Amino acid sequence: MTVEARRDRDGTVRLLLPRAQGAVLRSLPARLRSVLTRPDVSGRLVERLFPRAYSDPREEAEYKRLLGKDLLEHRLRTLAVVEKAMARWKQGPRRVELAIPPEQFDLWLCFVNDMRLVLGIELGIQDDTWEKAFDPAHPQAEEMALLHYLTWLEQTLIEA
Amino acid sequence: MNGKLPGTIEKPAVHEETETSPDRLWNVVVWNDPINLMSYVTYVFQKLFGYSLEVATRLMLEVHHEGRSIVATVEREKGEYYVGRLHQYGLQATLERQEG
Repeated sequence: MTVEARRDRDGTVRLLLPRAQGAVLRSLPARLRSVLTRPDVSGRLVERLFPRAYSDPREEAEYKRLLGKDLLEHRLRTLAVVEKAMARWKQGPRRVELAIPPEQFDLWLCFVNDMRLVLGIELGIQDDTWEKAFDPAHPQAEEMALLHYLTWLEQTLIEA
Repeated sequence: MNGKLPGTIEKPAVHEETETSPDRLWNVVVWNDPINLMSYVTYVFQKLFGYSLEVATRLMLEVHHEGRSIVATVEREKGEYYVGRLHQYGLQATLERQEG
């Protein structure tokens, strides 16, 4: 089943997805929220999702004191917007239609990209070679497949 | 970074944001990352800094090939704003004092 993506004259991006893909997407905000808010989140995830702004420890501490919460709040607000939009998806017998208004477009990109970053860290990706081929024998093949899918989705949104 | 390029570069321009001020200037540095897509990074540079596709692509390629790129040189407060926004987009960015 083909996936359609187009941008309306008013800038709204419309994405038609098979229901199964819609179901996968719907499961991701809760998963991402649990990663962002769980206290035992791994050091590498914290370093990647909440990176340093300064190499100097004192300047970094001051930056984090003043602005550190903003990044988490932005990500949680983004998830709230995405979940609200998902609740309004048009469900057809075989496909779901996702309409992303222009003011929410970057939030959707951030959501998809954040999920890709989490998967990339959890999969231990260290270099650019991962995207060249999908290995079904990979010990975490399902997670790798999801990363490839979200990579395709992100590219589709950018090109819409 | 991964993925295909968003467009063909004919003649890279050099209009990165640089503000002149008696205050000390800071470089906004973006670092390479194996997960972020080339097209995504280019999109973010265009959206956040208002760069043309050519400039954004040239800076993205510098990140990809050199490991880092100075994407703006501005006063500290604005630099912190940019770094914060880049972090929201999932890019790795830092602030460095401009040398000299």
